[in-house]
Amino acid sequence: MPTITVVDTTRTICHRVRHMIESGTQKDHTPVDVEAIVADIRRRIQSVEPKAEATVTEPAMDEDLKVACDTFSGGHWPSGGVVALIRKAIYRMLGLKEFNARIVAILSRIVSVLNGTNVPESGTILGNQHRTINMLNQFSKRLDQYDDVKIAERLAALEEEIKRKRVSEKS
Amino acid sequence: MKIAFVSPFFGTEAAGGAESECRNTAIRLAASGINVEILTTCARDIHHNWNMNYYAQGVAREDGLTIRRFRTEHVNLEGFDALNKKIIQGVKLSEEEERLFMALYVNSLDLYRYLSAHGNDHDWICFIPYLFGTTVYGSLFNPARTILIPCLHDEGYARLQAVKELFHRSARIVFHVNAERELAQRLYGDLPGRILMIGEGIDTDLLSDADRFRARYNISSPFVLYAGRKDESKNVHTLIRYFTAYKEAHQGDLKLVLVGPASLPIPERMKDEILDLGFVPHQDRNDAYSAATVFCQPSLNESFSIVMMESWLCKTPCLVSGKCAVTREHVVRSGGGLYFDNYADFDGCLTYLMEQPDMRNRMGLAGREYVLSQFAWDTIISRYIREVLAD
Repeated sequence: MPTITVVDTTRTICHRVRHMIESGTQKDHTPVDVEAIVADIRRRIQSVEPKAEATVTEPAMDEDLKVACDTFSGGHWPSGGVVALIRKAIYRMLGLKEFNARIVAILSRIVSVLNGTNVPESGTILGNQHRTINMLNQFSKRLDQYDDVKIAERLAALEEEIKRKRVSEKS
Repeated sequence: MKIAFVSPFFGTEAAGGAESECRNTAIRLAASGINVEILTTCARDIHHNWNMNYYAQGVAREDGLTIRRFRTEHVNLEGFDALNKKIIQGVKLSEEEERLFMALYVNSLDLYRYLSAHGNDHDWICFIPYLFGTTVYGSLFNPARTILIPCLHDEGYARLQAVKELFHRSARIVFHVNAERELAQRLYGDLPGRILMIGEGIDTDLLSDADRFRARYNISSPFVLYAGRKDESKNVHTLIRYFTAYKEAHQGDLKLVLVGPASLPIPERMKDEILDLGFVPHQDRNDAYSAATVFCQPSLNESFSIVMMESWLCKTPCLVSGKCAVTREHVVRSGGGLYFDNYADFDGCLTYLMEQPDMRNRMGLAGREYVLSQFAWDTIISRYIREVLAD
């Protein structure tokens, strides 16, 4: 028998043994239909309930806002803790639970716009805050399930719109 | 046969997928008996100022290759940054701005003079990747001998008129996967050159040890692995956010392990659930692939994704973003994993993978088979010789 045949046969056997070892751990040899599995997963998700990311219950949000508004209604300019509470409420209204530094920076600017640079006179705070909160609520309703790429742009647009609104309120 | 690879950066220190592909392909083609010359600049890589000539100019022999390095043109990097920012933001550059941008993006007149004088000495000149002056301007000299290996991404740069013209003048274009070819045809229309679907070579003799990884990093829980640069361009922030939401919705000790350079903020309450190991040695990363329950590639913009191939070689299934046509094509073609378009998908797919160990194993093996059959170096080099370089 020519040597070359022996070598080829040895290689073939090695290849087959290796394939058998690998395929031996495989219980099912049919190809995996990824599209079908994903479609099935999506059907099951829809049949249960739409799974929104980081959903927040309305009562929790309302509770935070109530505390904030009660504080304002007393005519006291918010302490750092209350500002943090307002910020938290705004995050929740926007449906955000996790945010990167850029989004935090934009939202912080929004909060600073809301706070204003001067301390408002007692008695005007509550009304202003209510109007602002209503306005933010309207915006948040327009923000659908947020898109990974567009969120920062949307927030920047929101910030601009809030600024314009404040200017028109002042005038 | 004599061929040249033209790349803006070249060397073991050059970071980047295209640079790595160029080097590995060139070395293996040279080993197969082809005379391979590298024409590159003295700059180090895209992450370093390309006004700095890191390497000495001249000719060297390394790994069976002749490497000719040429000095880069000194340019106004602030001007580049301004135009680059516009492109990233999706602003369309004027004709004049585009010309300026290409002029600022890694050029070497000495390299172009060499191509003008010696281009005909080569049977083929391979340009990789599509962007950079070295490819856009270098390919002007011998378009009939030009092979473009674009590593094309769906990004603002791909929409430059100069890039469209580059694709139209190249005699042959080598794509990694169908999704990349489809993107090119969508952006540039029908291309006159020969279109070749070759793929990218992978070292398939990857050795890994799951137990060694678990012992070294003291991780006994099941975990989802991400390997690669941890920044927003790779969409890792979304993975962190999705995994945080997943952990809040599900019981269990599943962790997310991140390995690779750079870092992103991790919520304080998730510090024990999301483990950022930073840059780890290559062998540790291979061991991590084996130890992982699922590998996640959340990037929206890949032209190939070597880390997915490495994960599959270790029989670990991949969960990828369905918004990236390339990685989605990989999992659908191979049967080696699942894809998600949003958080609900992510939750559903990860839950499915965690609850179906048999299917997880099948997917891992299917992925491995896909890599071995499509992207082993023998296969890739054979395709280059038979399809890319042949008449």
